[in-house]
Amino acid sequence: MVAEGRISTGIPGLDRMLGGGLMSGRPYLVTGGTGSGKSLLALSFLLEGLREGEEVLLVAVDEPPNEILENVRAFGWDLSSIRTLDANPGTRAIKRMSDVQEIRALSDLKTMRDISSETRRTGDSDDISIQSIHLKLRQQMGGIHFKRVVVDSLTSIRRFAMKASERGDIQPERTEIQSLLRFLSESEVTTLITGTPADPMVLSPEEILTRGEILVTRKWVGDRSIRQIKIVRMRGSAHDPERRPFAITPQGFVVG
Amino acid sequence: MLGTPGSETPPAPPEPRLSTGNPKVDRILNGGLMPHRPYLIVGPAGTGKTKLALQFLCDGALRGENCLLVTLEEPPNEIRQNHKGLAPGLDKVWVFDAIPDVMRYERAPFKDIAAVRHSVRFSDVPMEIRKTPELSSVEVTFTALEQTLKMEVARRSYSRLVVDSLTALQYFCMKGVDETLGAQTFLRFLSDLRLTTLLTVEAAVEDVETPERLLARGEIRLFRWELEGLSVRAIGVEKYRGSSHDNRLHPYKITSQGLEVNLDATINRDTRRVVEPEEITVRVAAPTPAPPPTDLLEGLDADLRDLAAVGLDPAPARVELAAAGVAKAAGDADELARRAAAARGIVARIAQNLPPAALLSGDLNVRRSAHHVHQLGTTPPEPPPPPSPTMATAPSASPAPNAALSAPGMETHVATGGAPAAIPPNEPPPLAPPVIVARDAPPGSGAPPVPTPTPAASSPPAAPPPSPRVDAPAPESPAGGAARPPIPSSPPVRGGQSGRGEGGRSQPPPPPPPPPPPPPPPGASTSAPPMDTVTGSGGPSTRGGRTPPPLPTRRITPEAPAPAQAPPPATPLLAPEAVAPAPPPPPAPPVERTIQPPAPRAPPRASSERTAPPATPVLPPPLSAPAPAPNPPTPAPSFASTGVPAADAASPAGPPAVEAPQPSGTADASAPAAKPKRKRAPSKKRTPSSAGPEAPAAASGPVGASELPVAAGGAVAGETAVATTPAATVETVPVPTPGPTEPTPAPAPLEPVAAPKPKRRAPRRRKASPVTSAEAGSPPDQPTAVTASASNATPEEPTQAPKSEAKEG
Repeated sequence: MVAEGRISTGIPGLDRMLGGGLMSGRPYLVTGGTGSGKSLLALSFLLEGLREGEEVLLVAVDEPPNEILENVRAFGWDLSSIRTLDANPGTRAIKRMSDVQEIRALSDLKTMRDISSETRRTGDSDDISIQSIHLKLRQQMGGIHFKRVVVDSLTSIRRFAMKASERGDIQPERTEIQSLLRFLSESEVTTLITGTPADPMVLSPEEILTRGEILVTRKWVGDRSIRQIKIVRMRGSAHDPERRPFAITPQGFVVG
Repeated sequence: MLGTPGSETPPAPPEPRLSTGNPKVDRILNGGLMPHRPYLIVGPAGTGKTKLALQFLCDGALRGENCLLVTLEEPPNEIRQNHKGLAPGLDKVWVFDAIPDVMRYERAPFKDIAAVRHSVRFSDVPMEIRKTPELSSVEVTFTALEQTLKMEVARRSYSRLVVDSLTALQYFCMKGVDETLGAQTFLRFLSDLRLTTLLTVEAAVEDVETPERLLARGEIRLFRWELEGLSVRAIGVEKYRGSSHDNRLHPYKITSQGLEVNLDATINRDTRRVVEPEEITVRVAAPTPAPPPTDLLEGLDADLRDLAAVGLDPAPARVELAAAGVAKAAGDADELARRAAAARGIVARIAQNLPPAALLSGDLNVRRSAHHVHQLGTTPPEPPPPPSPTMATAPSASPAPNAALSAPGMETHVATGGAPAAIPPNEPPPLAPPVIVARDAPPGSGAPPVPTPTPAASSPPAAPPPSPRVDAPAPESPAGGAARPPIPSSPPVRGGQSGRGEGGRSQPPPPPPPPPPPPPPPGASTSAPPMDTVTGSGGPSTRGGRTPPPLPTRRITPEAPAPAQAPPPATPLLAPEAVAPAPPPPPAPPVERTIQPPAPRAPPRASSERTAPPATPVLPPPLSAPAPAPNPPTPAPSFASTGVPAADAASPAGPPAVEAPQPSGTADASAPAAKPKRKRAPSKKRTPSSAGPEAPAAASGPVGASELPVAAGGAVAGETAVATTPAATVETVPVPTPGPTEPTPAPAPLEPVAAPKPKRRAPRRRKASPVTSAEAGSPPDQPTAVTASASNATPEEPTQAPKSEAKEG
C-alpha cells in the first residue's frame, strides 16, 4: 500500500496527501498550536511502526510518558512496546544549577510498559539540552536500529535548553539542532519532530533542515472547532496542496 | 546562450547571457543572466528554489560546461533522488557536500573540509547518505568553505555555481562572524571568482531587506501564499541590475522537470489571485457598462489601515470612502467612481506625509505598512476610470488591430519585436536583438509562450510601446482604471490591462502616440527590444515560426491547447465574428467585446469547440490524472485515489461530519464558509445542465471553484492531484444553491478581482489580528467586500471555472 521508499504515517488520508507517505530516512516537522493534535499524529506514526514490527522510539520532552500512556488509552492504542526516552526536565531545572549531571540524569530508554503509573521522580538538578539528548540517543542507538523516532517536542527542548540563548548566543542552538538532525538522518531513521509553528518573522534551523512540514491547525468556527491539516512542504515528492479537515476518532486519525 | 545586450551595458562587448535552463524564466529575465555575477533566488521553503537553481546547472552541464553545486542543506543523495526528473543534466553536475558532520562532543581531530572532501559528479553520488566518520568530524566554517571553493575553481574551470543555500551558510557556518558581514564578504568573494552564481535564500518573510539582497546583482523571487487552503506560487524578478525584465508576477507550478511558469497569466500580489488576460480585458472595460465596479474600492480599506498604522490620520479619506460605499449601495457608478478616485487622491496625499521614521520602525508590521504607504505616496493616484481607455491605450494602441489581439504588457513589445523581424530595415537599434533571437530560438516546446508576435508583424512602427512598459510603472498607473498598484509588481499588470483593454476599444485614439517612439531615446529603445528578444528566445519561434505565437495568451494553457488555437490569432474569446470587426474598431466594439467573451464561453462548450478548447481540453486532465501529466508520473496515481478519503471522512462519527462539508479548507469563518458553498453550487449545477463535455466538468468544477488552484495547484508536482481531490470534496457538499450562472457573465470577471481581496489579506503576511477577527465573523468590517463577493460569487464562478481548468491542462 505504501510506495517504495515511503514510510506510512499510519493515517491513510495523510499518506495520500504526502504522495504516498514520508520518505524513508528523513526528518520531518509537524507543527501546530497546542491542542491541535501534533502529538497524537506523531504517536500514530509510531504505532504504525509497531504494527510493522519496527523498533520505534519516542523522545518525550513535553509530557511524562506515563501521562501519554494514559492519554491514549481512550483510543485503545497500545503503546506499551514503544521505547521511550523520558527527557522531561527535572523539577528544579529552572535553577540551572549545573550542567554537569545532565547527561547522566537522563533516564535510559524504556519500553512504555516498564513505566510505572507514577511520575518519575526527578533529581533536583536534572536538566536537558539538545546536546544531552543527542548524546543519549547516540549511546542508545548503537544497539538498536530504530526505524522511526518522534521527538515531542522541539519547542520544549528549546525552552528548557535555553542555556545558550540566554547568553544571547543563538549559534550553538542552531548547530546543535543541525547536528541532531544530521545524526538522525545518518542513522537512517525517519523522524517526526513536533513543534509550534514557526514565527513567520524568524527562520528556525529546523525549518531549513527538515525535509518537509505538516501543519495541523485547529480553529473555532461558531461553537465548535475544526481541525485541519496541510502539507506545507515536502521535498522530492508531489503532495496535496490543499488544507484538509481531519478528525481524531476512536479509530485514530481520519483525514478527509 | 542568448545574446542580448543589457540596456545599461555599453555597446562594446555584450557578453551573451546565460540561460537559466528555464526558457520562461529566461524570458522574464529578458534573455537570461548576465555572466560572472552573483544572483539570488529568494523564497520560502518549498517554493522550488533548489529546483530552479539545479535547472541552471543542468543547462550548463548539458552544454558541456563544468557546473558546481555547493549544498549545505539537502544531502547530495537526497538531491539526486528528489530531482530525478533532471537526471540527464544533473548527472553531469558536480556537487560539493558542504554539510557539516554530526557534531562530536568528545575531542576529535579537527579536519579542514578542503582536505577531506571534494566535489564529485552527481552520477557518482551514492544513494545512501554519507556517514560521519567514526573518529573525526568536519565542521564547516565559512572561511574553510571559501578556501575550498577557491581550490575547486582552480582545479576545474567552472562556469556556473550554485550555493544552496546561503541561508544555511549564514546560519550554521558563520560562527563568530557577523552574519551580514559574512554574507557581504561571500558575495564579494564570489564575484571575484568570476562565476555566474545563483544563491538560494530562505526568506521567511517578504519584504525584509537583507544585505545579500542589496548586494546581489539580481534577485528572482518565489512566493508561496495560502489562499483558501491552497498554495499559490508565483515568480517575479525583484531586481536585475543592468537589464530590463518582466516586472510582473507569474504563477508557476513545480514539476519534476523544473518550474513551469505560466507567462500568460499574472498574479495580483495583493489579492493573490491569478489575473488572466481575459479578465483584464473585462475589467478595464467594465467601468463603462452598468454594473457597479466594485474594485474601485479595492484595497482602499487596506490603504487606510496602513495609513493608520504609521500614524497618519486617514479620516479625510475615510469620509470619501464612506461616501463611495453609499454610492455603491445606491448603484450609482459615476458617483462611486468619483468618490473612489477622490479617496485615492486623498490617500496619496496623506501618504506623502509619511514620517520617515516609520520606514525604519522596529515593528515589522509597521514597517511593512510604511513601505506600502510610501508607495502610495509616490504612485500618482489613479485618474477616474472614464479617462483610462484613451490614455492607457496610447502606447500600444497604435497598431490598433494587433494591439487588440496581442496579449498584455509584454505582448505589446512583442509586437514591436515582430515588427522588426518583418521589416528589419526600419529600426536600426532594436534590430540587433531580434536577429539574435532568431538565431537562438531554443526549442521551447512551450511554444505558446510566445504569444506576442501576433499579427503585429504587419504593423512595424509598434516600437513606441516599449518605453512605457519597460520600467516605468508610474506612468502606466493611470492606465489601469480600477486597479490599485501599491506594490511594484502590480503596475505591470496594469500595464497589461491597459494594453489589452485598449486594444479592443481605443483603437482610434492611439494612432497619434506611436509615431514619436520609433526614434526612441537610446535607453528606451535598447530596453524595449530586449523584451522582444526575450519573447523570441523563449519561444522556438524563429521568424518563420511566428505564426503560431499569435495565439492570444489568454486562457491558453501553454502546452495543450496551442495547436487547436492556431487559426484564431485573434482574440480567442470572441467568436470569429468578433475578430472580424476588430480591424475597423469603432468605439462600440470594445464594449461588446468585453461582454462577449464570457458569454460565448459558457454556452460555447456545448456548441463551438473552438472557443471552448481551453476549457474542454483542460477538463479531462484532472480526472484522468495520469494522462496530462507526463512529468509527475508517480504522484498522479497516488492522488487519484484521493477522492476516497473524503467519503471516509463523512462516514465516521460526529466531528468529521462537521468538517466534511467544508473540505475545501476554506473554513475561515462563517462568512467564508457560506461562500464556498455557493461557489461550488454553480459549478455543480452546470454539470447536470450541459451535455457531454460537461461531464468532466462536473468533477473539475470544484477546481474552478477554487479559482487559484489552477495556478496554485500547478505549483505542486501533483497538480493533477489537486484537480481530483477537490472533486471528491465537493461531493460531500449539499449544494443547494442553483446559482444564477451563465447569463450574467459580464460582471463576474470583475468580482474575482475585487471581492476576494479582503479574504486574502488576512492570511499570513498581515499579521494584524483585527483582520482575522473581522473574517471570523463580523461582516461589518468588510461590508463591501463581503457582500460583493457573496452576491457576485455565483456569476463569477462560471467564468472562473473554465479558466482555471484551462490552466490545469
